Amino acid sequence: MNNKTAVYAALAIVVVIAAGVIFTVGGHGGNANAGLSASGSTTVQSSGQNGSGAGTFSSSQYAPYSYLISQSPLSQQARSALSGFRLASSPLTNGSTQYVLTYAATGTNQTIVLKPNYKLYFIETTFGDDPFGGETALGDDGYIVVDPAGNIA
Amino acid sequence: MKILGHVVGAMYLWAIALLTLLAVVSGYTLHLFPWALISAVASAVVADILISRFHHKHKLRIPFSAIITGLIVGSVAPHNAPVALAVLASLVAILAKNFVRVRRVNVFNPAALGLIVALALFSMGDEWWAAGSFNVYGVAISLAPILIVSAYQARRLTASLSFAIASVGIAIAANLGYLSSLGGVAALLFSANYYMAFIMVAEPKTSPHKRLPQAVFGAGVAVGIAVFAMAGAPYPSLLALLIGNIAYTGYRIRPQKSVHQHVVEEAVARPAAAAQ
Repeated sequence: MNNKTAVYAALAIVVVIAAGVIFTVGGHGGNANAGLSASGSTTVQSSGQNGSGAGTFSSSQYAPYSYLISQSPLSQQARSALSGFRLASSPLTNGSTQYVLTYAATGTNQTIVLKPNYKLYFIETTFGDDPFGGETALGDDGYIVVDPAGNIA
Repeated sequence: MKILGHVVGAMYLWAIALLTLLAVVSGYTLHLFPWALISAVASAVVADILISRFHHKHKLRIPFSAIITGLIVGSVAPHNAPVALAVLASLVAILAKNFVRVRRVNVFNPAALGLIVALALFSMGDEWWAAGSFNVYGVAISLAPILIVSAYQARRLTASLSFAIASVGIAIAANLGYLSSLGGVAALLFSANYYMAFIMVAEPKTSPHKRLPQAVFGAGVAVGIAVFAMAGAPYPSLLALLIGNIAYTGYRIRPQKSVHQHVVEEAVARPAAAAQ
């Protein structure tokens, strides 16, 4: 790769970047369903109001970063996404399932009660903060409950 | 090539372009404006210009390496990091780049040192948000491997690939009991920290030049991260890299035999061998 090629390639990338910056500035904020905090313990119950939640999951900004964790066995990718967390589930008498998501470093946990046919996704935007079973930053982690119609509950 | 009358290595331009591209793509998909990253770059540039102009008495020039340092700081710190954290990390990084040297060569990866100091002071974690991974048919695909161009330009591909291979190998070994398909292996392959591999480990001033030492350096940093992560140490990636930097500095300044010493030793050894 000679220097001229490098310059042209760099210029092309800069143009793409400039366009990206314009789009980014013009971008709009998303709607989070839930985040994970480093302290405290929280219990969340899926609402089950079809179509009245925070919008369609597949069109949300979180969809590309979400991994299904309400299935067994977990996919390897979901296991990687859950790096630094422990997930436990137990069936309830009313047909719902209770999930307890625990941040291993502090023991902090959140309990999510999932109604039948609902899905629970774990959000992990980057795996760089998950070295070998750890989790160094919680800012990009969270979870989303999705109803049977595909809406964020 | 020359920019504004100054000779600039293509490596710097590639690194800046690709790091900015990653940040823009991640910022766009995450719907966030990277204020911390912009603050980090601005403060790194200003600090480097001031030190270069008033301490080193150099002429004014575009501080490309400081721009890269700022981009790394802003990309690894949490996307919602306070501006003060980004500024502090950049300042520490630029000070380390200019003053923490052994035999005129940097000891520490500047961005890694700045980040570990600032993140610890602000009690925040390293997020690597600009190296976002997208769920494509159940596998997280990251754009970070495009940074391989930068590692190639820096002539540190051996270190980078050694780090990546060791990282994936350790991840596979740690998950051996759960891997039921090739898809699982692919998931671990794509989940490796390629931002770390192709930018941080490949930093040319703080990593070995020759191939074998590069391979040892890359694999050693990967093993270090695994050990620190499994021991629950904070900032395992940054910590392992900084320790790797120290080890490399020790290797670089180790006492080496001169040609004269070799000749003298051989001259002494030859009669002794003949006498036996």
